[in-house]
Amino acid sequence: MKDQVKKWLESGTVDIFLGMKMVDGHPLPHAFTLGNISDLEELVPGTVRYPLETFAAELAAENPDARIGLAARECTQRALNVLSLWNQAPTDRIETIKLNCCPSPLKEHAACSYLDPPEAGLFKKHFGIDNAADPEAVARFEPRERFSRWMYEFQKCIKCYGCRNICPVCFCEDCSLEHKDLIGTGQLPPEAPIFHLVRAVHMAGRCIDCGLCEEACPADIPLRLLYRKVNAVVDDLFDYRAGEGEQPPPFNIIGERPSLEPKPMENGSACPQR
Amino acid sequence: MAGLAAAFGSGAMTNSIADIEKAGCIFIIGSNTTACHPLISRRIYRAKERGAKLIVADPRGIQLSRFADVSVHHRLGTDVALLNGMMHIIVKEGWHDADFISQRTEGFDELSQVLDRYPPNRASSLTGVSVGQLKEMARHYATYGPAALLYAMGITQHTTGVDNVKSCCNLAMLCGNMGVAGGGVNPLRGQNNVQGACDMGGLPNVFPGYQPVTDPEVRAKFSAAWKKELPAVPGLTITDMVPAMLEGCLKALYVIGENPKLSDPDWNHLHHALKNLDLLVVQELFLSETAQVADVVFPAASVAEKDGTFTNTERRCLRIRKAIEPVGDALADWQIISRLSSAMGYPMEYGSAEEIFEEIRQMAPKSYGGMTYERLGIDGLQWPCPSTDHSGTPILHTQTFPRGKGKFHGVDYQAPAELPDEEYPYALTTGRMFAHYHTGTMTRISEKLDNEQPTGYVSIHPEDAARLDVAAGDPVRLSSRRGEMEAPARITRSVPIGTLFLPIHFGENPTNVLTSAETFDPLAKIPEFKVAAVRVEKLPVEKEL
Amino acid sequence: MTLKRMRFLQEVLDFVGLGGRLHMEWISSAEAQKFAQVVTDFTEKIRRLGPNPLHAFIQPDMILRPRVVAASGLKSTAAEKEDAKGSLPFTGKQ
Ligand code: SF4
Ligand code: SF4
Repeated sequence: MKDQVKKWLESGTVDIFLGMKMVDGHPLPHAFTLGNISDLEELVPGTVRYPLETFAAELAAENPDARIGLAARECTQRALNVLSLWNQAPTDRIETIKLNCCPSPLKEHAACSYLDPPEAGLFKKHFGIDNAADPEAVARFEPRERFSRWMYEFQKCIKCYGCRNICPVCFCEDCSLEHKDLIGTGQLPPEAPIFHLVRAVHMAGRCIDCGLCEEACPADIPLRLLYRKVNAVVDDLFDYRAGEGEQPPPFNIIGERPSLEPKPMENGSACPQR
Repeated sequence: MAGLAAAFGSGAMTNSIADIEKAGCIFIIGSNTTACHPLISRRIYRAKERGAKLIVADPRGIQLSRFADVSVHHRLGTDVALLNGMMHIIVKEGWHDADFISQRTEGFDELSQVLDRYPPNRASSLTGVSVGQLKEMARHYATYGPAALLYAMGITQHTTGVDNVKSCCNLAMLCGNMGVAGGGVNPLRGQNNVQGACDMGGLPNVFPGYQPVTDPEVRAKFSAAWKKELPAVPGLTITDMVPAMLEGCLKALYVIGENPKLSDPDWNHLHHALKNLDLLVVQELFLSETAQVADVVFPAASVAEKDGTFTNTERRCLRIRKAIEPVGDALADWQIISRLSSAMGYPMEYGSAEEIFEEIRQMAPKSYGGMTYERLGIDGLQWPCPSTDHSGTPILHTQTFPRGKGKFHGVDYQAPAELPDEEYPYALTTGRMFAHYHTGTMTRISEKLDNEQPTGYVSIHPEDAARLDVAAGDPVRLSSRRGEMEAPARITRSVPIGTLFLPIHFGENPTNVLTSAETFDPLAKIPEFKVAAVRVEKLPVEKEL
Repeated sequence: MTLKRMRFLQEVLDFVGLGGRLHMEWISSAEAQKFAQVVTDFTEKIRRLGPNPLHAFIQPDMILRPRVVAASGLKSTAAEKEDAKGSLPFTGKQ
């Protein structure tokens, strides 16, 4: 990879290459350029992830001529597809180098920070939801118990917005999670379950199942699992899978445009209905 | 600090943040951890989900109370009674660690005499916590070891702050929870570098590395290094400074990165004191309430604009690296101080923050001697780190205590200095909320955080609100013996009946108008922020246009 | 499309355990009887589902905003009481 990046930078295929650089034993996101080409020595593929595509989109917007290279996992590629659909990233100016990641029957060796999540503790298994469970297993709990388990998880939330901030496909200017009429402010945890349901609904047809949100969540809430279910429903109803292909979603759950201001809700309503 | 030092001989979080995950039981008292130390709550959740027990003692209902195995709401300021009550039960049931007590501690007899006076019935009537709950707290803490004890300002900001801390230490030693992974006594410090500031001698009685000013040998060492005869008497604490300003014997005040106009306990008192000064200099990032009344303001560089180190709550010294050049005329704090000092006739010529760090290593060798910028890297090192081959100390007091044996202190419960009475029937406590930081100088100018919580408020129990005919959002006037202020009401059962809660972040609703500067801990000089008696009146509601 | 969006919300709500509480039906202004029937049926269905489990999670430390008060009153609700008997595995209340 180092050689290819070097070639790219020297030949001008790309002006900037985004990857992870090892600093004092920690891989950190870094912009490699001709100016700091010696840094390439420290370029690492590794298992650690960061939504470099978010940086790429920002850099591309700031520098209309720049060509950007990117160390890309499969989820990065899916995210780029979504960003491009919503006109958030000019994919014609973004080159990617594929990294070894998600395992498959053909590819046993895989490298991703998500591969070995810590095993859920007994208490969590008993009262909450195991992050490693699949949506079907969760659906098998009886509804009241299901609700109670989700509420256990949601109530741990410390409203850090880590899930939203790390998400490669969260790009709206005005975030509904900050909309005072939707979600009350000034208290912890944020209103449950509405905070998490609003985010879940807004990920429909967008979430590319990278799991970064769940990795970022300091409260270990099984966010990816929730969004996975949301997208399974989308697949069922609309036959649409986010991040695949070049078609925009055939539906719009969150409104006409993603950054549209949501309409204020009526008092007493607990769920995002529109 | 003073309480920990008396018990163990050094004052800091004894264990590490990551270590909390290893606890068998976590006892949180006087800390709203999810709001004030959110990433520490991550460890608490993890421990809890693994099967650890959680005890939360807080006068208010807090987020973590929801997850607690035992959650109690003791009366404001009754922490000592609560802890003594627990210890009484532990000793009586024989749950204490007799080996640890005999080998590693002294003063147990003194403690047990005091504990005799706290049978469950008495502890229960003092604290308002039922006997059954007291027993459960004691049983959980003592039998699901190792037990980590976490506390914050809810313990220290009382007239009995030092006593409270000593009681926490008593409890931890009683059950042999010192020096073990997942145990310890862990004060959670609020600021990124408050531990570092204390380590550097930002206290009136010590030089860097907690070397006492009154020790002639230490003084000689520092006088030689700094080429100046240093005074033998400790300086003034902030609590002592205010009267000194009022009396006129303190004429100039130099405030660095503090906002006493909001953070000091008695607004009126301090306001007069500041007026009495000949010169007030404030070094700040933003024009805080205090900076607004200063004669001179030095613009200080923010964290992204300077190099240096911070030492955080777990004694971990971490490097900060300059990302951008300081904006405008701002300079790093060390540059401002050096220039000022040089201009005043004592040349300070440091070339970089690292040079100063090298001096720290020399002057505080026991804790910082083994740290270099290179070794700190990204992860930093936890003091004590005396030599360059030492990997830092995640857990303190594993073999001995700095003072040799750990000391039990028999501590008796004393009621808070001011209790509600007929004239001022409500008990007021103050604290923080998650969206803002201290006096809000940094957070309230953030649009997003302002959106989260734009104004101050006062939390009132629905029954009190009904009695006062106050609805959510109605403005109310609070008055204490020292002053009065207004804030909109927030109705919530998180406060008990008869108790009010005010967040401290909001300059237009200054809580310190109400709290008292005259009552403070006699030793640590930490004022009583957490209990005051107040009266509440409903104000006419202004019609919204 | 609206129907599908509705289905979507119904399924998501069901997944977190709030199923059956959302219903949509096309009724023209001429179908007064159908309207009455649908409302009656849905009301009956909701009644059978019992109190909204959300009420069990109205926590003591929540800010009682008008809409929370409206939903729960200041006294414990039936759901809270039921819940005290332990019908939900976790509610975050002692
Ligand atoms: S898994 Fe999480 S971070 Fe990744 S796209 Fe979906 S919502 Fe965003
Ligand atoms: S990352 Fe987790 S704790 Fe933070 S806001 Fe998202 S769900 Fe809540």
